[in-house]
Amino acid sequence: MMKIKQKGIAGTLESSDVLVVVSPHNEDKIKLILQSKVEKQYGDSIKKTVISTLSKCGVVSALVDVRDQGALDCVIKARVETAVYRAADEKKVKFGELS
Amino acid sequence: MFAPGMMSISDGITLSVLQDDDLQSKLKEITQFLTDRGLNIDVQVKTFILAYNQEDNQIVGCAGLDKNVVKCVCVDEQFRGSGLSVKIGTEVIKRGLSEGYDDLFLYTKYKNLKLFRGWGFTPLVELPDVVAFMNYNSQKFRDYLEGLQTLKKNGSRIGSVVMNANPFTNGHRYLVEQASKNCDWVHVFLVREDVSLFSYKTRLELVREGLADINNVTVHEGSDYIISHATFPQYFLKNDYDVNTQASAIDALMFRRYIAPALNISVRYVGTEPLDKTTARYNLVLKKFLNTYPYNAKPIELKELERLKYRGVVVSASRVRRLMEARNYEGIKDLVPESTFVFIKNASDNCQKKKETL
Amino acid sequence: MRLRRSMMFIPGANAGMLSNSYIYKPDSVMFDLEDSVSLTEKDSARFLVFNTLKENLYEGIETVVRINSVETPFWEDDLDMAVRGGVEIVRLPKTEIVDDVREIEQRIEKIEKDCGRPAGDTKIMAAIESACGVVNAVAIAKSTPRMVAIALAGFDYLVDMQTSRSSGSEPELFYARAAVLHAARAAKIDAFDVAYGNVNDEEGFLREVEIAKNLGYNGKSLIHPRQIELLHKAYAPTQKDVDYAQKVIQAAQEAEEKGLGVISLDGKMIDPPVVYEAQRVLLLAENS
Repeated sequence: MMKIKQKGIAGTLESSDVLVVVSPHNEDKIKLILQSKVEKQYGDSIKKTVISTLSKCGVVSALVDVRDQGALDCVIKARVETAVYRAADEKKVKFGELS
Repeated sequence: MFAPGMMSISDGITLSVLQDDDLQSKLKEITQFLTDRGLNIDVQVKTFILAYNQEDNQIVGCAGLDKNVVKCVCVDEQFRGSGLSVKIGTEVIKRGLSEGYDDLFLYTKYKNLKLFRGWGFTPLVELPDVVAFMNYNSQKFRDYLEGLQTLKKNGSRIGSVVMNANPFTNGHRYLVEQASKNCDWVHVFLVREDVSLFSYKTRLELVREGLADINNVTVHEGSDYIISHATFPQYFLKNDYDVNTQASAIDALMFRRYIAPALNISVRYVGTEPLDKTTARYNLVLKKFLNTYPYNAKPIELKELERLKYRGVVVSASRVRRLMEARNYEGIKDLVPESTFVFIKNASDNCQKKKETL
Repeated sequence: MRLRRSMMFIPGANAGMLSNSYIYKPDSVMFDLEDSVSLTEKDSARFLVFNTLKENLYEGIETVVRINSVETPFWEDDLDMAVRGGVEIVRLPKTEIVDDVREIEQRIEKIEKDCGRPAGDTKIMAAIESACGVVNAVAIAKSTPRMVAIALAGFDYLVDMQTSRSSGSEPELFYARAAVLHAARAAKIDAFDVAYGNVNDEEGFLREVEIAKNLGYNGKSLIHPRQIELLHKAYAPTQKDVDYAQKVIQAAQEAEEKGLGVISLDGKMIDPPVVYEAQRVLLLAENS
């Protein structure tokens, strides 16, 4: 279980990357906002990847803002994980349990 | 090759974030960089992102942050299209968001719109071929407007008043009263910035108390999207003769295009004063952009009412503040509602008590 | 037998480069968590590299992760991520003494056990970046069966030696180059030459490649994709080399078929090292 305590930001605006901002949410669910150049073709797939990554990290309540610049799944996962850990102010990462 | 200690590296460019003393020491260099390229430095900028060429240690790009407003963005011609601006943009946005702001804003010359779209900013309002006002967090803005919509009231004539109310006086009350008599409903907006003598929290309290007995009024908390640090920073320098037309225009267009439609507002009430040039100029700009300026949003009527006078002198917040300085409480009593007076008196009493205990 | 001509450096915090560099097909790719990653992005880089490894983007390319030195607060998490992520080789920065290797090795062992990775599966490579490293190169190269390669890192080494790069025949790197190569050969592992920083200087790059190749270096550290093809071309054997190598292989096969204990070609005896070299030449030819 990861509790989102503060704003966690990861990634960049560069091509093939994604900028992720994870903030505390006042409701017990995930609110995901996605902006992507390829929203039509890949919007759903990107959202799926973000949601599943959040769930693997044990996040149940968060506001998540994702700006995609054509990133691969592995990059999306990595940026979401980084933002979550920063937002939860959690330094210890259990890499074995991440995938 | 890859050397330690640098913030970001690519093709011989390093990025650094400067504040406080570090910024002070580089200010001259930054100013030179900007003026060489036809831009001015803005002294309100407290954080600068700088890009340096490692080879000769010269600045090749920069961007500044004044709270939640991005300013002074400039990339040397040689490096345009190299991806440098996006790197700078990333740092500025990360910095702004981590300083606690949920949304970021900027004004830009029309020709640079594309660059900032690349950063994820979207235009909110534009003066074609002149300037565009942009923001970063479209969702936040949408949520704000949706929130406003839930407070929409029925009626054919819905009025509005925007005030700083520093503090709330009989003059403010008078304006809202007149509006409430002539409209089905009145929406009162309080300017949110905390740069006035009375804190935002206090001003809001006093406005609510001062209007409590009027049935068809809603008092709205201010926001970043209406007369704020972002939309209209110079609002607070109104006693300065230099009213920024561009900012007033943008603020008016924001109101006309987004806020008024969300609440079905058709008229805005403002106070006038024959001898106050600054207010007169501001109201002229308001009138133009709320009403006559061709824009893809319904025109809003600007209703100008002469401000309330007491004993031949306009009842204004500044007058009250002057009387406070002079500790003329009898004088203040004539100009403000009971609720405001009680607050001022208590505040002054507490102040006295503190002085006595020291 | 594995070709290790090109080892492409990729800054671990750069999503774009991590996502796209596999198309250049270097022999090995090195995801850097050390000098190219700023202090504030060490965590980001770890997540990026871990997910890149897990996604198997670099299938067919040998994966290497350069961790931060044991003197930093980062190395343990770096190692944890790399071993669990399935990286093939862990690259130690600035190796100076055998103890540097020991500490890392012990930790890798623990992690392998903990995550169920076969013991000894994670390999190590050392980077020689100082005078101390050069003089201890042999011991370092021989320090563990996990050690598969040793690299000379020119920039930091020269700083340590209180000198800098000159162009041309570069006497300032002569001893270090020779020492590191000898250490590699003595330990029967691969050797990598220094990275060439000036990506626009093709001529200078090729000159340096020629020197290292002639000395016997297996490969070179690269910092830009365009150096990969240049390097591979330079290492391509000539037709003459290929023809000879084929003859050697054939002779070896014949000897085996006839059950002979000795391989001979054109009246001369061929030792196993020559056969090994012939195999290497053919592998190089295949991959050119």
